[in-house]
Amino acid sequence: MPRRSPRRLLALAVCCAAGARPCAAQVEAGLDAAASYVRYEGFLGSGAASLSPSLAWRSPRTTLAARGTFLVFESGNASLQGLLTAGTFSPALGPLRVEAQAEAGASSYVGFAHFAHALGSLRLHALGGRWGAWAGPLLGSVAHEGSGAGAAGVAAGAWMRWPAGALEVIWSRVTVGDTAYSDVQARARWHAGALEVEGTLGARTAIPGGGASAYGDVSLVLGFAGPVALIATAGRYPGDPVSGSIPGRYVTAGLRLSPRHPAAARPTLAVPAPARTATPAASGAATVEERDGLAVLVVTAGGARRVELMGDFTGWQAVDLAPGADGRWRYAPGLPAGMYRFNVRVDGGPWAVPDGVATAADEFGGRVGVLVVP
Amino acid sequence: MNARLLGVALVLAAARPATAVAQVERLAGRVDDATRAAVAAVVDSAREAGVPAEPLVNKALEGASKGADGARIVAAVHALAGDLGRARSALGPGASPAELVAGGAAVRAGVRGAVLEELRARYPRESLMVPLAVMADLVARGVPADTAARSVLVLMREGVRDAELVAFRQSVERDIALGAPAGGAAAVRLDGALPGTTSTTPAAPRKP
Repeated sequence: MPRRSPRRLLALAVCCAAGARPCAAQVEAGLDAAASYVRYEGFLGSGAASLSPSLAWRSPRTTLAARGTFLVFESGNASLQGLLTAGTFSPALGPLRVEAQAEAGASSYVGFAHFAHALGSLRLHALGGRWGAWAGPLLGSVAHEGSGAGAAGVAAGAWMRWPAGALEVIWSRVTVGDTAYSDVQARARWHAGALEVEGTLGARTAIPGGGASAYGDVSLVLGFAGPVALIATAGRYPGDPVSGSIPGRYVTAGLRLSPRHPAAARPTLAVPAPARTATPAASGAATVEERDGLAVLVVTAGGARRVELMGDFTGWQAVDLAPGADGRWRYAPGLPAGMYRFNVRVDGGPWAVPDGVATAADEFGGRVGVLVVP
Repeated sequence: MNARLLGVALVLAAARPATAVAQVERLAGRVDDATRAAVAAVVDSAREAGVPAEPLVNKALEGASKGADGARIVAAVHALAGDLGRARSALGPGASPAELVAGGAAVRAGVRGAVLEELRARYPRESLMVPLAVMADLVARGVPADTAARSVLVLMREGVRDAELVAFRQSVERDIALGAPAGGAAAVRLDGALPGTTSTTPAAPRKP
């Protein structure tokens, strides 16, 4: 599954951190071939066919894995995704172990720009015999067409396992640029003989401006004929600003060729998040206040020593904004109704577009902010 | 510049209205003489089509401040004059400069002139600056031009105000930032803004 997923990290923890099934160094390869019906939000439903090769090297404490997905839709459009992950555990420190993880992924879909991300995380695990808990930060970046946004977050989880299955609960909070969201997930896994069933139920909350959503899926893996397994998955998943996937519902069925049968993967459609021309720290965030019937442009740039602005209303001459309390800088002359183009510079840095306003190409190789005063 | 061209420039300058002259004078010391003369010629030509000088001169000043060379500045001004001219043709002679600027941005973004004509025909006395600016912004965010145009038209038909149009645009932008496809975000937000009017969804979703 080419999405960043706390549960994937936890699955690794369950396998290796607890040491329940000591892992000898080994290489595993697999190939999924599946047919799907997908309905991404904002799109009509569509059939799709996918091929997902995977390769992993596992030692007692370290795992390196790669996975790709090539997905072709009814329309002939295709998406291509790839993900590399690496994780290693420290030696046991009593009941504690430290885990370091890194992952890098990229995706593209016809009609959209390429999307890539890189994340690193540290986790402190507390381990019991049949249970465990962990917590830690993650940090990285998301890139889209030459512009980037920082990604940061924190996640925590707890799990229990018994001979026939496991139950995991995960909470995570992730910020990507100016987008932030929290997820709570419960995941259960059960197996009997050649059948493995896995289900997820999750909720996304605290999304600035985006509302909340619930999601979940159920997957079945039924092994037969040696390395061949039947896979089936259905459910709904939320958008992921890190990997660029959009929300959707899906049903997938296919065959897996693998000496082992890890949890089924689902198709995703990579759609890039919008380009960010500047981070808040580089150019601040713009808002508009009303004063005497005019609009006053306010740039919030905490810690800045100087904030300058140039635009249609300054004759494109740089002018200093007046500092105010709490890092708010104002362009004192009010603006009447109209559509204005402008750029902002913080502490002598590059001219950029602050967050909070629309942007457009400026015909001179850069970007310009567009402010509409009703 | 030889004497003949200088003479032509002087004649054009003499025929230029005082406001246009004042606008072009803002370029003094900001661009070289050749660029200034070329921009002045574009301004004169555009003025005959009813296009105001100020946005054209602002564009030249923007280029100058960003270190663009003269050729690029003139090309940008010329392109803007074309956009403003098309907006002028569609919005009519009574269009305000602010409407023309927003209309020019919409045209540049890909909104068809027929949409501007329809807006003006339906709302001959209202300012269309905000609706046109919202269209331009939505398209800049990746919303298909026809979807953006029809979204705004539907909302206006329902009587929404300028501030609500701006809020609609912001909602769509937030959804896109969260990973929603641009066209889908506009359709969903339009449905949300028009309870019970799902049949007015402006653009049918497509297959991925």
